[in-house]
Amino acid sequence: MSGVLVAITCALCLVLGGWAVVTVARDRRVGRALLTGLAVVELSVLATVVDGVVALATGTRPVELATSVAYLVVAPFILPAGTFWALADRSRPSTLVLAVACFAVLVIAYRAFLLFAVTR
Amino acid sequence: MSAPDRTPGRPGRTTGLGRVLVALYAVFAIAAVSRAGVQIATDFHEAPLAYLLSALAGVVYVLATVGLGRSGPRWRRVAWVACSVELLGVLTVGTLSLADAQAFPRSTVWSGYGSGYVFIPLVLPVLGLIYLRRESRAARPPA
Repeated sequence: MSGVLVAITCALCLVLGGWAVVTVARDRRVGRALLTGLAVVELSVLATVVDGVVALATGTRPVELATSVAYLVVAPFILPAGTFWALADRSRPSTLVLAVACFAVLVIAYRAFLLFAVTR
Repeated sequence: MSAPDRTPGRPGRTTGLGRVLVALYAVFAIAAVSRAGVQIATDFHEAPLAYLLSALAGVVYVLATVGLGRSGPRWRRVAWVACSVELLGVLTVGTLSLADAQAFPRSTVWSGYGSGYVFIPLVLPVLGLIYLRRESRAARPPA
């Protein structure tokens, strides 16, 4: 699994998560720019997942295979679900849901990277 | 965290900070259920107690997520029970895992008071209970 891709995904998650927190602190609504940023993160997540699937297909066998696969399956759904859940209620604190989602994606990407590094 | 949002949304819906809680709970529900699933499916015999606790934690998180996310008195009661069980669980398992490490050769979400998950498992039920209490007070304004 590409460390560079994972690093990019994690960095983007940090930036967008921070952006969501700042949006709440400044009492702003979620704007198009933030949503575009989230879409970019999601693309990065998808690229990371594809990278992981390719690694599995070409013979990489993490010791924790089931957990690794579970991470790859869950990862793409977190940001869309979080965004949907945040926007369905346009109150100020619900924007924090985006920060939670970004943090979750960050942890998943990093953990997946660690799991893929320990192979049989 | 910021002050609770008092914006009157459509009644009977989880709003404001409640939604953040639900999101956190959802993450932990998915994490705990999948973790327990993997553990029980792959090496249940190694630490049945820890793995069953993981599964229980997962179920509690799912119930808390749904209980907080949906409206109505019945779901509120589910949320109350789930958050209370969760707090009790994290305190009990946390203490036991430190006092008697032999009993917990494999860690669970609640081991070491959730230290493997930046203590979020310890903070979450407290926030949940505070939120529920606040919400029930807001619903019944002082006469």
